[in-house]
Amino acid sequence: MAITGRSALLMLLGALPVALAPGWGTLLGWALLVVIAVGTDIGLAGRLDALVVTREPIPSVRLGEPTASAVMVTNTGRRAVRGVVRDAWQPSAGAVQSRHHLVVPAGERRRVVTGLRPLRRGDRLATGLAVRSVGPLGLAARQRMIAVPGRLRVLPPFTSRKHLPSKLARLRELDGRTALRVRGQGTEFDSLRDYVVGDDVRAIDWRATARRQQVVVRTWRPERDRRVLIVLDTSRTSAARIGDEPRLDAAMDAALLLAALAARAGDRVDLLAVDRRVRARVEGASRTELLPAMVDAMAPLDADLVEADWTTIVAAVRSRLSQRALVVLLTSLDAAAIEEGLLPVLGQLTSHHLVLLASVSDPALAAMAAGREDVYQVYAAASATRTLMERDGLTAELRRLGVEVVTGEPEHLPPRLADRYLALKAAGRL
Amino acid sequence: MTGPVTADPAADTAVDAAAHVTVTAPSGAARALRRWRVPGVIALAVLAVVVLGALLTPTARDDLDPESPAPDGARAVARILAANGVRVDVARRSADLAPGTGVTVFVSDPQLVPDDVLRELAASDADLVLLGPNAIALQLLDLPVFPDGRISARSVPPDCTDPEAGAAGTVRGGGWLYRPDEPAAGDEPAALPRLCYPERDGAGNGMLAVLDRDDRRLTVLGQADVLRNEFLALDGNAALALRVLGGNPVLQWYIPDPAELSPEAAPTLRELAPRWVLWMPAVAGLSVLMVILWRGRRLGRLVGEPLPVVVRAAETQEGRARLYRQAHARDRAAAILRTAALRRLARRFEASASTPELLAARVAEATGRPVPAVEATLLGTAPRDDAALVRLAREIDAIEQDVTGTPAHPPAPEDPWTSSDPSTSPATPTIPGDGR
Repeated sequence: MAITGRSALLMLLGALPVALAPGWGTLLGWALLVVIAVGTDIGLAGRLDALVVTREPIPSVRLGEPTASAVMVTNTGRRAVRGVVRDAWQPSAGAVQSRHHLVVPAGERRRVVTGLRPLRRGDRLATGLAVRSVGPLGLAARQRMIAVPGRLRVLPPFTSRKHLPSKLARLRELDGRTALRVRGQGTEFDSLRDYVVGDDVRAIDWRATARRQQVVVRTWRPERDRRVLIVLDTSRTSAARIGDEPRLDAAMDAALLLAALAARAGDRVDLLAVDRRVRARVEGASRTELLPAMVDAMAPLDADLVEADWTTIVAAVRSRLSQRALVVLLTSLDAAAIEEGLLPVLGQLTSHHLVLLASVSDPALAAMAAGREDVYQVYAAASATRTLMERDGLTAELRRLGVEVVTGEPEHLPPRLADRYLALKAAGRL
Repeated sequence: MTGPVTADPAADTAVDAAAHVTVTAPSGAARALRRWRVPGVIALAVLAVVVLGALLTPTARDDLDPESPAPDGARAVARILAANGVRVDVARRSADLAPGTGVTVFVSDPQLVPDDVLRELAASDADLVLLGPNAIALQLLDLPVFPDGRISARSVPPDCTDPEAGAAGTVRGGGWLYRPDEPAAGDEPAALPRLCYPERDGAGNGMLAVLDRDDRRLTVLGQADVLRNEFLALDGNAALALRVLGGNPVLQWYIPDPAELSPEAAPTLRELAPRWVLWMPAVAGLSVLMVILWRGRRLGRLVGEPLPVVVRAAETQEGRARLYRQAHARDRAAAILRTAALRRLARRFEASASTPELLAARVAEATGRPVPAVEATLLGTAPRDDAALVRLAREIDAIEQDVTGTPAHPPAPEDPWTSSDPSTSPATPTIPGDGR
């Protein structure tokens, strides 16, 4: 139950009789009157166990986009229910106005819509609908939390999709569709066509030319149907906050851009999110289903404060790949974690596959390394410089082992990773 | 990695990244402080001026106060009396009074004197000077004069036989006038007062009434202006005031305290208020209780929010920087900065950083700096104090800037089309002065 401001006002009105006839009798009599009125009002309020509440499912939404949650309140009782309801969402679901005035006459139903603007990625939950049914006098109310669980899946925002058109244009340049044809190691024979001025004479197919009257050249297209496996590291190093978001979110952004690009290029893309165990996976998704499947798999992921178990990761990767593939490790160039975890088992990957390591770097570190204001800043600069040098050394070591390394700040990593993929594809190294 | 930047394991593990809760600090208080700073300073200044002004201006005291220099005060006459050998004691409470022989008691407002004090004064041996007493006070003092109305102030000649008034001559008269009380049967004529400064000739009343009784002089003065600073220099005011007040070596200037008039306790609010008012707090209390119940009831349970663990990325580096600072690890910091600069310069000159002396020579050649200076900066000994460390860091920056033409930081962006960069091979120069 709950009382309203009106009942407090009624109690205050008791000043009048008490002024006219001061004494304990009047005071307690009035208080009793108020209690009886409140009790009567609660008795006359619409019954809450007669309410049937159902929640409509909500489609997934990208982070930053508004959505709405609707619940249907059906009154099966004999009295109307009027009062206030609150749709109980987690704070990060960003309910715009969670309280609503509601009147449901007997036997009717009403739809209550709460606007949501989620603040964080992942599954945002609702526990139920709190209903307060006010009595006819407006003095008091029945109140109950009616359990109607709800779930809103908030997908990664994929902010780097703005880079996709330019990368696709570059992909088309590689592809045989424009006049410029690139021939390289690993490209595939596409077709024969007449020679036009400007074609590389080395592309002339003499055998075909001999058969025909004109000079004929071969055209090529980049290799297709290669396998790309994106490994998302969800261990402690991904929990690090860079700017306003965890390293993991920037890595997801890069993974999405790469997956979108690779899928359009005709490659098969799989995703594996791992730390000590496989947290999420997307395997064998068709070209059209790939991105939705990936964002859906990534949405509920959060970085765990555990050390990545690279032995498990490498084993998981190897068990999923039979042919040569591009393995993209989205992790952090953390000297301790890489040297102790990844380097010992890296050979098992590089022997069969092309490994590309992408790391989100921290702009704060570069700013720290440039500090010269006072002695504190110089010590900080020395500390940051040491980390940067360790990172440089690690990068060089990885490259020596045949691993491609891409680093970048959160907003630069996705396009850089896409560029590196295109460069590998152009070079026919996939 | 080897060389001067080999990880110090103790430093690394000690500052391992710890869980860090995100703190949003909008610092609204600081912004409000900034916004109100100027008006606040102005308000403080005004307040200071007001307080200082109040402290520095002479305190305005009551009418006829012997310590007040205001126009209606009486400091002038008190000072003149003191200068002429009369001790002026100010009595602000009846307890301060010590009437006796050789004492003149001046009562500035007899109406405010408690009755018993007036009776005491009447029974004492002291000379009394009463300023404008009313009929009740006169009766309590057993003086055979009676108020005879009040007229506006004017200059009046003495017009009487009193020698002192005669000596003073014309003074500021008017104010309260007094006439002799109807003499009761059997009273001696000597008990009649001498009246001076009448309303007009032969009116039978006067502004000044003097009565000699049992070697005491009882004076009733109807015009307070005679004593006031403002009028003291006019006519014979000063002469009259000095003669009236200065008859004895001691003058007690009694300024009655109105608070003494009502010695019994005032009725409390509880006694004054109607009975029903006392019940109102009870009603209000019950209402407030209901308001608390109304506002305190939450609409449904709260929903828990699982917050992700987020660690600041640069936290390890910041922790290590603090360790360097605490340990005063100037040698280590300098070695790191020098090594990093040498590597960048080596890349720039496409030279090897493992022969720093050659590199330093090339840097000196490119920048036009003397070779020993460049060597001291890039290869020298560890700085002796923190200031030297800061100077060294800036000097390294200056050299790099001279070489590249741009600030040394940030590192050049990668070329996305090159698959690997051979120039970033690990270089391990030997830095003199770094023993460990």
